[in-house]
Amino acid sequence: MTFAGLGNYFLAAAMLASGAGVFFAIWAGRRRSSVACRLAGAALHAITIILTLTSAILMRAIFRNDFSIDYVARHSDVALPLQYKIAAFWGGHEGSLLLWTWLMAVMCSMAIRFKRKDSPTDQAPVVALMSGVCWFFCLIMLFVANPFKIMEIVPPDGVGLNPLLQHPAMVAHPVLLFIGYAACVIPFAQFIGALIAGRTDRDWIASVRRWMACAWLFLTSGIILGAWWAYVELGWGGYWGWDPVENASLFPWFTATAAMHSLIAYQYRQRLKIFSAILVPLTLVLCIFGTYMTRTGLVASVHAFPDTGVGAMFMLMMLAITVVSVGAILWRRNLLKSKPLERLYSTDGGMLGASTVMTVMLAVTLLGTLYSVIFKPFVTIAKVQGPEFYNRSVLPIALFMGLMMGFAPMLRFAGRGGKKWRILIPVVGLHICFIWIDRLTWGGEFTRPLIVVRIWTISSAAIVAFIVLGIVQDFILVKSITYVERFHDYFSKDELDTNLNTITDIVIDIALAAIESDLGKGYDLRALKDYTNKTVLPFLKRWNSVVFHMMFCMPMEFEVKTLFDDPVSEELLKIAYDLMQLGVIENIHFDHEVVEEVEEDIKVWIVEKLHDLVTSKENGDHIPIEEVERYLFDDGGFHKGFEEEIKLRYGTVEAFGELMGSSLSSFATALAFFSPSHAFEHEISMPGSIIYVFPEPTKDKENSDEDKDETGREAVKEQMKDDANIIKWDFSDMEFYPDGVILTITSVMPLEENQKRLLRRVRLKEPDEIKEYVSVFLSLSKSQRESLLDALRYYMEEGSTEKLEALDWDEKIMAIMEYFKDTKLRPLIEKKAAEAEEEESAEDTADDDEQED
Amino acid sequence: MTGTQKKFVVGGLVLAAALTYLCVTSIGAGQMYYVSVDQYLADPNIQDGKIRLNGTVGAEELTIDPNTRTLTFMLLGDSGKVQVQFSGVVPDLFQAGGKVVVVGRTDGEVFQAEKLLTQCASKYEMQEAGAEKSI
Repeated sequence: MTFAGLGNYFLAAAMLASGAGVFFAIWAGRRRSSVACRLAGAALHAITIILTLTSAILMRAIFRNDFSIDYVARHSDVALPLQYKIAAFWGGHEGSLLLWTWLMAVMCSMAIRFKRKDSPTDQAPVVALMSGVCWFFCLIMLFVANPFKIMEIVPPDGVGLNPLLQHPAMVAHPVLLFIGYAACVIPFAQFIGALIAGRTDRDWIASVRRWMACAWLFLTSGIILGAWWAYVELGWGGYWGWDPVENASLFPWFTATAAMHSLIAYQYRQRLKIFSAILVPLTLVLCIFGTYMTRTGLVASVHAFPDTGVGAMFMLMMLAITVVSVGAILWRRNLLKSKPLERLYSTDGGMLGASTVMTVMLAVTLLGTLYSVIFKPFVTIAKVQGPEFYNRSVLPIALFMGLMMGFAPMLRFAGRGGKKWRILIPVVGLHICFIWIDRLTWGGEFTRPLIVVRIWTISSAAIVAFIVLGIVQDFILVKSITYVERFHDYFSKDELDTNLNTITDIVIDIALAAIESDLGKGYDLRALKDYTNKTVLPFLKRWNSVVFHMMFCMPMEFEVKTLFDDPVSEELLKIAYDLMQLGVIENIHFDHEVVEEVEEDIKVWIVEKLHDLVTSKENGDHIPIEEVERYLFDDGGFHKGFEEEIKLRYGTVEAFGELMGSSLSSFATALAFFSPSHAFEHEISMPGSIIYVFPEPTKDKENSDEDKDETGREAVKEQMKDDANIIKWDFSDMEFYPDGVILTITSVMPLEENQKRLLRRVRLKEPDEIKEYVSVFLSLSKSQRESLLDALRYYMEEGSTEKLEALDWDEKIMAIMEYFKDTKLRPLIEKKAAEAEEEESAEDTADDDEQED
Repeated sequence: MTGTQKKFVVGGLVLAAALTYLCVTSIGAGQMYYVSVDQYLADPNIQDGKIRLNGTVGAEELTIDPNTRTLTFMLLGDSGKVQVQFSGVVPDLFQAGGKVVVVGRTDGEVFQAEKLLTQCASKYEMQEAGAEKSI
C-alpha cells in the first residue's frame, strides 16, 4: 500500500474517531456514564494521534519528493530549500486544512487534559462539540479537499512553492494564524458545552478566558506577520490595505478582543453573560467565515481565489455551530441572567464599552468587506469599498477606543467614593491638561489644510499620553493600594486576584498605546517632535519622575532621537556631498539590507521649506502661522508637489490603512518583547517601503542569463538603473561601521526639484580614508572649506592646480590634497578629456557626413 | 424606566446616530467599481469616476519615462486592453505577465493609475501540475 493510501485511511480513521467521540460524549451526557465519557475523551486523544501520523505522512511525502501525491507535486519541488519544504505543508489549500485540523485536535486534547479533574459528565458536551468540529474538518479533507489525492501520471518534478510564498514570514504567518483559529474552537466548546451541562461557574469561564487569550495572542501575531509579509513581498500599498483577505483575519480578532473584555465581567461579577455567550461562538464562526470568504471567491480581492469546492461545507459548519450555540443559549437562558449594570462609569461599564466598540468595528469592517455582496442583487456590476471607507469610518472609532483605554484604568475606583477619588483628581486633571496644553501650543492653526495632517497627530499623541499615563498611574495605585489593603482588607480576595491580572492587561494596553502613537507618526513626525519637546519633555523635567520618564518617553524618545538635527553630521553630509560631486567618493556599494522609513523625507522636505521661509525673514520678524500654511500648501508648485507626495505614499491624504500598517509592526514587536521601546527601535531596522531596487552591479552581470523569465521586471530595473545616473545625490545621514560607511542618500528628482526621495542607504568602501578626509575637512573653517572645494572644482574643470597651490594652510591638508590629485582627480580629468576628444571626433565625422550629403 | 436606563438609551441613540453618519459618509467616499478590463471596456458608465481595474501586464509596450518617472503599460483582459499610466512606487513584484490591480480613473484615453498593486499569486488555486513551469 502506498503512503498516500495510508494517509487516506488515517483521515478516515480520524473521522471515525471523531464520530465515536461525538457518539460517546452524547451517550455520556444523557446516561451520566463516566465510562462513556472516558471513551469519548480517549476518542479525542485518538484523533490527535491519528492526525499527527497523517501529518507526518504528508510531511514525509514532501521531504521524499513523492510527486505521486497531487498536493506535493503542486506545492513542492526537488530543489526547494528545507524551510520552504516545511512551508509547503501549509502552502496550499488542502495542507493548510490538515494543519488547522491537526492543531485543533492537539489543543482539544490539551484542553480536556487540563480539565481532567472536573466531573466527567460535565465534560461530555464539551468533548462532543470538539469532536463534532473535528469530524467536520475530517469530512472536508476526505471528500472535498483531499491532501492525499493521487496523480495519475507522476511528474518528475513538482511545480514548487510559489516564489511569493517563499518568505520567512510565510513559514510562520499561516501557522500562527491557524493556531489562533484552532484555539478559537476551545472557548466555543467549553463555553457552549459547559452551558449545555448547566455549568456556568467561574472555573469554566476562567478556562474559557485562558483559551481565548491564547487564541487572541496567536491571531494577533499571525495578523502582524501577514501584514509584514504583505508589506515586504506584495506591494499592496503598505502593511494594511483593507483588502478582504486582510479583513477576513481581522473579523475573529475583533470578537476575540471583545470577548476577552466581556468575559472578565462575567467571571468576576456575573455581568455581560449573554454578550459573552454570543461573542465566544461568533469568534469561531468568523474564523470559518474568513476562510470561507477567501477560499470561495465570495468577494473580489487582491488575492485571487477560485472556488475550491469547500464553500458549501464551510457554510454547513457555520450553520451547525450557530444553531448549536443559539439553541444552547436559548435553552439555558435562565443561567445566563446577568446582574444588572448599575452605572456606566464602572469597570463593567468599561468592559461593556470595550466589547461594544470592538463589535462596532467588526460591523463596520464587515459592511465594507461585504458591500459588493450585499448590493449585488440590486445592481448589474457591484461596487466595492476601497480603503477610504475604512479610513473614514474605522479611524475615528479607533481613536475613541484610545480615549476609552486612557479612562479604563481609572474605572477600577469608580463608585468606591472616599479618599481614593482625591488621588485621581490631579491625574485626571493632568490627562485633560495634556490635551489642552497641546491645543494651546498649536493654538490658532486648527484650520484647513494643516488640520488634515495635524489633527490626527495631535489627537493620537494626546491619546497616547493619556493611555500611557493612565497605565502608569494604575500601576502605581494598584501596587500601593494592594499593599495597603492587605492590612485594611479593603479589597476582597477576588479583587486582589484581579489586580494580578492587570499586569497582563497593562502589557496589552502598552502595545495598543504603541499603535496609537504610530497613528500620529505616520502623518507628521515634525509635529510629534515638537509636541514632545514643547509639552512632554518640560512636563517630565518638572515632575522628574523616573517612572514617568521611562514609561512615557519610551515611544517618544525614538522620535526625538531621529529628529534632532545633529550639526556635526550635517556638516559631514555637506562635505560628503561635495566630495561626491567631485567624484572623489566613487566606490559606492549598494546595500540591499537596510532601507530607511519613507516618512522621513516628507519631514525633511517640510523642514527645509520652513527653513527657507524663516531665513527669508529679518531677525525678530514674527511669522504668523497662516503664512506658514500658505507657504507650505498654496505657494506655487509646492502645493501640488505635496499633494502628490502624500498621494504617492498613502494613496490619499487620509489613508489610515498605511498608518494602521506601520502601527502593526510596533504592535508586533511590542507584544513579542513586551517593551514598546524595543518595538520602536526594532522598527528602524525593519525594511521600509522599497522605492527603487538597484541591482548590485557585479551580481547583476552574473545572473543576467538566469533571469530571462523575469524580463519584464528586469527591464524595469534596468530602466531604473539608468535613471540613477540622472539623479543628483544628496546625503542626509552617515554612519561609520568597521566594514564601511553607510550613507543615506536622498535624491533630487529631475521631475521636480523639491521632490526629494529617499532611495537607498549605500555603503562606501575605504572608510578609513574617507574618515581622514572628512576629519581634515571638519577641522577647517567654513570659508576655508569653501575655497578648498572651489579650488578642487577649478582643478577638475580646468585641469590647473593654480588655485590649489594658492591655498597654503597646513601640511597635512596639502598632503591629502596631493593624494587626491594623483589618485582620484587625475584619472577623472584624463577620462573627461578622453571623452571630450571622442565627442569632438564624433562631431567631426558627423560634420563630414553632412558635407558629403 | 429608571434614570440610569434613560441615560443608556439616550447615549446609545447618540452613538448609533454618530455611527450611522460615519458609515453613510464613508460609504459614499470609499465606493468604487472593481472590474476586469473587459467589463471596463464593455460598459462606458463604469468609466466615470475612480475604479479598481484588474488584469495582466502586457509585455509589449512596457515603458518607463525616466524624466517624468512614469510607467506606461498595457493592461490586458481576455479580449481587450487598456493603456495604463502610473507614476510612483513600482512594487517589487511588478512584472510583465503578472496580474495587477490598478486604482485610478481614465482621462479619456489613458487610464491614470493612482495605485498599482500586484496580486498575490493565488495560494489556493487549483492549477494543472506543471502549468507554471511551461509558461
